[in-house]
Amino acid sequence: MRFAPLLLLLALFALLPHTGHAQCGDLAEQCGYDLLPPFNSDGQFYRVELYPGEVARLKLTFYAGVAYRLLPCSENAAKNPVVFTLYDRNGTELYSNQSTLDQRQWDFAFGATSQYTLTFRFAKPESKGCIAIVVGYREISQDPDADDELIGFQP
Amino acid sequence: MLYRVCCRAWAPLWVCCALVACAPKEESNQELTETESLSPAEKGLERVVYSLPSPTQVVALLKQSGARYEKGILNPDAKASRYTASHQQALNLGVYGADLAFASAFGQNQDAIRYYLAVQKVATPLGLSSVFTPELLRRVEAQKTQPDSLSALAATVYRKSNARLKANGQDDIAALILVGGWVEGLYLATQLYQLAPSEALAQQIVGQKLAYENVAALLGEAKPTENEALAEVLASLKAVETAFAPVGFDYSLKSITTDSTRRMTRIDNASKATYTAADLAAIARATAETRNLIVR
Repeated sequence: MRFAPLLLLLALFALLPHTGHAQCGDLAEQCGYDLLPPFNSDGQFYRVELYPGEVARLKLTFYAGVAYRLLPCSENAAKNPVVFTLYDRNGTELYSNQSTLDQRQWDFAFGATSQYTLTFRFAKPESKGCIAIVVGYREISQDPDADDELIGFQP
Repeated sequence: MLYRVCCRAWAPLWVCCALVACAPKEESNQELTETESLSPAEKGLERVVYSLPSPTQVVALLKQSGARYEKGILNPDAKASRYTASHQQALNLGVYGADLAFASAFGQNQDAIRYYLAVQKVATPLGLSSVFTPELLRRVEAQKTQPDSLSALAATVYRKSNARLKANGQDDIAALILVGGWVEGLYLATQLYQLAPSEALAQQIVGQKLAYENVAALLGEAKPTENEALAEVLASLKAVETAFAPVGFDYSLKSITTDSTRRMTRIDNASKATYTAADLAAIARATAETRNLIVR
């Protein structure tokens, strides 16, 4: 009985590595609720726990004929937003949200089905914590009469 | 005396602390090969995360390519109870998820409900029963006349399963689900192409070479397996890689247009795939072999 507090303490320590997982997972799941129709989630949760100075890199395939919405999340996005940069397969920078950090999300459409790389990090490099990226997609309307701002952007 | 008591009573705690300190971080650092073009601020420590297109997305593209619904190429839902090993359940959760997405996208509502129940059957032993709430099934049945809504629900099931597994640290199971779904999506595409060849469908198939790079990376992160059946499936994916090898892409970037008001950027680029009919046939053969190992 006298070892009960010790055992409890040990159990708490043993769970420590998993709390990071759970917190990151919870963050990603919460972010998913911010993705609204007509965008569907791509079905995956991209989350990573970053330590000071670290950058995460996500390799994705984006398709022509589809519109994508990128929604970065962090635990304290208002004070320490997520900076993301998109590169094509040749390493050419296509977009960075560095100058639009106040925007919660950004949409993309591509002429080419290709492999792309998305890097993300905290705006304050000395920070540590979880970052999640939610990727949503929707088909670009094939109907020329539809009110779709992406019409005509077919390869 | 006090020292001895402390040492004895707290020894397990020191061991525990040491283990916690040595526990691996959530994602292991990867060796990087493509950092030259990154800005100096982004050349520091990096963590790499890989993605695969979800079956709902692949199926939507198949439909866009002019494919039609073919029930006979799906994995029969009645086989769901055969899959008893966790790797079988995970891979076939991906397969049935793709079949659910396929039936949903083409408005085959009765089939979609059957595949929803098959997904539930293989997902439950993996600890995902809480994803399949009675409310979700009610939504499936209530919206069965609206293909778009069913597709959205299929995406919801996929998303929630992925989130739950990752929150529990079961990334290896999550990876197998992704791989199963990707193989089934590619299998459906190749089978549909054989039934009704079209350039749009061929482009969708060869375009999956790009996603294969991520399949290999995801599986490379998974723990080595002593399970013979799983090892056989993973080895057969090497044949898919070999079949994709001759496919090339001629990529060019023309312009980038950003509309700040609409919070939208258009990347006007092009990627023309080079391949032969023999390449397509080899991809179809290798994919069918891998898929048959998964669903047997």
